[in-house]
Amino acid sequence: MPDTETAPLEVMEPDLDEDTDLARPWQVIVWDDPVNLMQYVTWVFRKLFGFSKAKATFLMLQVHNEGRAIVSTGPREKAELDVFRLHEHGLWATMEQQP
Amino acid sequence: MARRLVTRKRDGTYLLNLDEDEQALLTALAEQLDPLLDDPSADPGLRRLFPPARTDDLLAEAQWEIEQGANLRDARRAALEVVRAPAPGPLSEDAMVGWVQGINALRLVLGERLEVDGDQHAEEDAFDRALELAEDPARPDEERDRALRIVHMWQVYELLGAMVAHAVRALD
Repeated sequence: MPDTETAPLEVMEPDLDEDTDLARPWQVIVWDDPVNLMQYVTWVFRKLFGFSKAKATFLMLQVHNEGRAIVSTGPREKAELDVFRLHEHGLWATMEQQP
Repeated sequence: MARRLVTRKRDGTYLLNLDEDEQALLTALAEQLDPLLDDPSADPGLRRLFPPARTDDLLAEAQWEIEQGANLRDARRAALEVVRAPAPGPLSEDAMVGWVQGINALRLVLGERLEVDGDQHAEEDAFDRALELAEDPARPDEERDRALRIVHMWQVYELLGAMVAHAVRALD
């Protein structure tokens, strides 16, 4: 059919990489900051994630000494909720897909 | 501080043991912070109250701010309201959590204003310098007043820290 003005429809090829992306879990990272008290951070971890005192303290120290710690992993919606609740408590948290 | 600022009762509720001056201070601080929450980007001191969620993806971060910014602001306001005017009598656990979130938020803003960077010696030096200036009769009044305000900010920062620590001990 000549002289048609319709642009050819572009077919989106499924991108295999993106498909894999969707399946990759997300991780929530808490970053070190100079203001929040250590015992406060430990308490927040216990309260939000139900960690034992030992695990919460370990993660708090990891944040303090190494600058960051992964505190939760899971589907995107869970990561978003965790980040929001950490922000609500005044912690500096970000989320990213697992490498 | 020998006095316990927060105590947990056997029935799972909490008591604040603050004197009038302390409550008046908290009320004033909460009232100062509340209107600033309308536009957090206008004040770098509020940076810590609205941290980025996505440092790896600018677009995703913009979307996060659109979707969650107002929710976070509402949560902050609710927490500050408990600090501003705690209900008389014992606080429920939820109210107590709101209280410590609010106190911590005030502390984060002050820490930002005082440029706290984790170096305790530098913090002590900054406090000593301000105190010295404030008490130096050779300095002009304006400079001494400014230094005195900084001394007060450090004192409030310390007091808020004690409040957070006491609340966490009662809650945990």
